[in-house]
Amino acid sequence: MKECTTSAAQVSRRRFLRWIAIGSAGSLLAACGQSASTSPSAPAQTGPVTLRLRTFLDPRGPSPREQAFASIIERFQKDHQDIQVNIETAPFDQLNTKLIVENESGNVPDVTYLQPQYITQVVQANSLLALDPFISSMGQSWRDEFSSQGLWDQTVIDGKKYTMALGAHTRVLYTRPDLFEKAGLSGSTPPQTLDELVEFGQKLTSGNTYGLGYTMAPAGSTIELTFNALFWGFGGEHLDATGKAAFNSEAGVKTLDFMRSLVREWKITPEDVLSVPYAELAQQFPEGRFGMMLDGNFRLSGWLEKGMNEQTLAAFPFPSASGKPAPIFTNSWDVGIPAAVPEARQEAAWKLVNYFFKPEINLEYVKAEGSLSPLKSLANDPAFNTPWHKTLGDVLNNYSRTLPKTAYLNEMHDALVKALQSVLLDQQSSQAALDEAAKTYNTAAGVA
Amino acid sequence: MRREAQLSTQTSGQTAPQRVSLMQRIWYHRTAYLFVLPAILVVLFVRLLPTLEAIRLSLYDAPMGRPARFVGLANYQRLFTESQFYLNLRITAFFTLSVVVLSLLAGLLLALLLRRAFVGFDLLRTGLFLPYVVMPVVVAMMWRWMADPVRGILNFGLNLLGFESIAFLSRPLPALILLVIVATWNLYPFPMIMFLAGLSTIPEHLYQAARVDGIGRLRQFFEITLPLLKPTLFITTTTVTLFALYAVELPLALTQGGPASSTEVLGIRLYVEAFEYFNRGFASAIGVVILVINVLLVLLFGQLFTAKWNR
Repeated sequence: MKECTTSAAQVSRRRFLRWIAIGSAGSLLAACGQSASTSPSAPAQTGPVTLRLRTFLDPRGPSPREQAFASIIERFQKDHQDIQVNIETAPFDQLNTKLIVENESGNVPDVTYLQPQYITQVVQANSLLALDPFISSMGQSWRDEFSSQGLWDQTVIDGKKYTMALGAHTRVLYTRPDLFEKAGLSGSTPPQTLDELVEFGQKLTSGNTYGLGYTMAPAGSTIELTFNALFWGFGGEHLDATGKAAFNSEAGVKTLDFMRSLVREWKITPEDVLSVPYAELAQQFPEGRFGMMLDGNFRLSGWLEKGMNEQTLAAFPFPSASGKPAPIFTNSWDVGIPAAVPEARQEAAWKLVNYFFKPEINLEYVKAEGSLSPLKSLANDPAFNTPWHKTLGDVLNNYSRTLPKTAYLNEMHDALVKALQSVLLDQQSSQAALDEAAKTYNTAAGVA
Repeated sequence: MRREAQLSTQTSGQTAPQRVSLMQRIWYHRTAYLFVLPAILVVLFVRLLPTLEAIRLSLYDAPMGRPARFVGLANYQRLFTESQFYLNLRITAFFTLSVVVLSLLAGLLLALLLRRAFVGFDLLRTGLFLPYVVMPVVVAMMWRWMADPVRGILNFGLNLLGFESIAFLSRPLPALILLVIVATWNLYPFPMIMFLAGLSTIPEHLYQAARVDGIGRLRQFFEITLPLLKPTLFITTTTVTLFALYAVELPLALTQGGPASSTEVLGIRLYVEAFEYFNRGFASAIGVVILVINVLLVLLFGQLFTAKWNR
């Protein structure tokens, strides 16, 4: 019995070990197969190429911009029979961060939309390819076509160019001439100073209508848009020459005090701007909730689609205390090529990037988006001959500013938003809040 | 044990048990271990290894896309010396305690109401369970719209009653209370189902005997129901506490931590540091702190529920 038990145990043990060995080998083979297909050092592709293009635009979406985008991609594929484009969508505020995370694994799209003001962070994470070799190959005349040096320079980091701006976005004070008339104001005369902004706002505020739509929600767009419009107008600078926070200056204090007064004292901006997202606030402007609103040119096409016209929509530069238009945040939606894209695919990726800058293509895109073309040859196109575009062009060419190039822009924005909201909620004085924000930023940026 | 005893008598012919090595013990129970092996591997790779990696990473300055640098306890020093951390801790404590107490109470009350079948019982139970299956992000968006100061139904109701609209998400205390309410609404079905299951295991004859002895309902609840629900209470309290402590999607989607950080729980802080600032080392330090809090709480609950009800 002992022998039977022993031989049965031996047979059973052998069989058991065999199962384990087969199972382990199978798992190993499967893992090797998987890693080969996703390895960045996979052999270069020959023949037709399928590019991954990541954007926030839905090619099946109803907006004019999305439809123009879909049409452009279709035409690109017709003009380049050997290149197919797969479009991936992601939320606009996650495009930069997704790229940084995916770059670690090498699983990146071939071309991606990016927000240029956060490019420094992306470049510092080694996630973007410098485009200089491609730009050089296009020749000087191609480079000279790009009109705005400021827009070009916003994504030049340490002398290298990383992304291309599809169209310029700037911000203006939109007004409702119809509501102005109702309030006894002239629909064609905008406020020229901050005092007039408040005065007009108070006249416009009545019932469910507020004088000024001015986002103060916990988001980076609050600082880019509403904080900076006042801050730069008061002469403020975000960083000093050493890279330390300089926004806790007199200009910063004046800005927070003014924004607080909009809600608490003059009551021309409703309290819910502290929490309603910026995009939702913009939906309320055509509905008549605000008589004035600071917003970007990218809203234009959507509002016009909703039936707004010259009687219900006008655009003017945002005022400052001095009476001159305030410097205003200007940026763009950019396209770039991730660093992890294999060399064999970079040429095809550049073809797609460059396609957006063929004059007829760029015109179609920026018209649909309501932005301004970065190309000189399109500056005088009849499409930009509307009253709104004239103001946008004037602001873009004369009053635009870009954000400081820091890899810690998210940290700066969050610290400033917290400061703003704590002041709005009367938790701190403006100076104390800004000092705390400056300390937070300096610690994060390693310049404390 | 029986097999080990058999082995000892077969091999030595004596009744005294032989010393059996660990490997031999594992071999004897090899079938059982084979069945348990997949679960062990999942726990190892999905839980234990990432946790160990997070602990390791917390000792480094490790921004994404750049080489990591060993800094020892510097991340912890930064965390424990900043006021923001203690604000996050207070908010997390309030949020967790409130959500746990409210969802357990709501779950227990509903379970007691539903323990006896009646017409429409199944439909009602299914309907009451629905909030649990809705994704937290969807729950947050739904409640955002309900709390909208212009078009939300909450303010519509307030206006009907003659009150002025409240910008719930624009004020610290209303935002935090709304967050607690929404989280409770999302979570209460879990304890409800757990308590229903627990209540169904309590023998009916205990209540009959109690009634015969003239013991009232309230005393029955405290003397019979609660003690016998002890194991369920322990598991449910622990699980709901972990849900609340690890909450990220719901507060992020509902309030983004605002206004002025008044709803910024530790989970949001960890998310922002990891996925917006890409400070993997510092974010890992926050994660380790949350882990330690969890472990301490689980140990506390174990002591509480074991000691209190053992008589």
